[in-house]
Amino acid sequence: MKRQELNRSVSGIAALLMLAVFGLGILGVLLGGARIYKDLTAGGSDSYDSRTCLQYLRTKLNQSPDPSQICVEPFGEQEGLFIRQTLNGQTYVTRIYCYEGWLMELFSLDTAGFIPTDGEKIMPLEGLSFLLRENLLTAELFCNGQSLKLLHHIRRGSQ
Amino acid sequence: MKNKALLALMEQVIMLLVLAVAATVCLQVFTQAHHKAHHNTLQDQSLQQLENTAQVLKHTRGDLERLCLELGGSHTDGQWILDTEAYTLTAVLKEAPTPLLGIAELSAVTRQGVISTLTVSWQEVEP
Repeated sequence: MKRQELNRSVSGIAALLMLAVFGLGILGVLLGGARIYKDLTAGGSDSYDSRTCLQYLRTKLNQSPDPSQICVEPFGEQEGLFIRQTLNGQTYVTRIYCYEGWLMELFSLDTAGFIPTDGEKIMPLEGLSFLLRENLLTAELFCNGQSLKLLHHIRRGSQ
Repeated sequence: MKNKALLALMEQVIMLLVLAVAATVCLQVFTQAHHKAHHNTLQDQSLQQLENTAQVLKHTRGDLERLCLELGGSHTDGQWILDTEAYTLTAVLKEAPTPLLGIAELSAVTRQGVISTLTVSWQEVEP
């Protein structure tokens, strides 16, 4: 009698242990999968932000109607990229700059007295600086905690 | 009674085996997804660096010495190499079919192979 009871107990415990192992196994796979998915989406999102930011700047530079009118000038407390063009006899300027954690663009008449808050928000950006040296523009961007560099050769005049 | 207990135990063992097979398949898929995402990130980063290299080559008109000064790396026999942690960037000057045209082939290479390539051309200045 006692032996039978003991055997029954052992079988019951064995069954419970198996169930516990099964449950832990499922939990482990689910947690591992969720962690990997979270890392994948975070990495994808960071990659998208940095890629979009760089491509936006590069496209603006490549599509500028007159490369000789690209320059770096102070705008507000920082420097911005100024791309000028002439439309209907008037000079317009596209200003690209970073303001309060956003990449901003402001298109207006060159003589209009706009300030950095008037620009349009493009995407979040932690910092942006420009350096123009001998027709080579260097833009340094700070996006999602990483530093990115963009180099662009500006064709001017007789080149 | 004994048979019932034995059957229940066998059932649970089979259940565990099925779980083990399913978990193996899932983990394999997760690992492949992780590697693919890592490869895509490397590709993005390398392409950005190759675009920068292309712009500097246009600026220097194929002068590898100035390219080294600007971006780092070393050059020999018309080839520039820059080693980074994840991949190696190379720029090889090519013979252009048209006079006064400079061409270079840029590539990013890892141990697994080439991850991105880019061709750049620029106008040479007549001496």
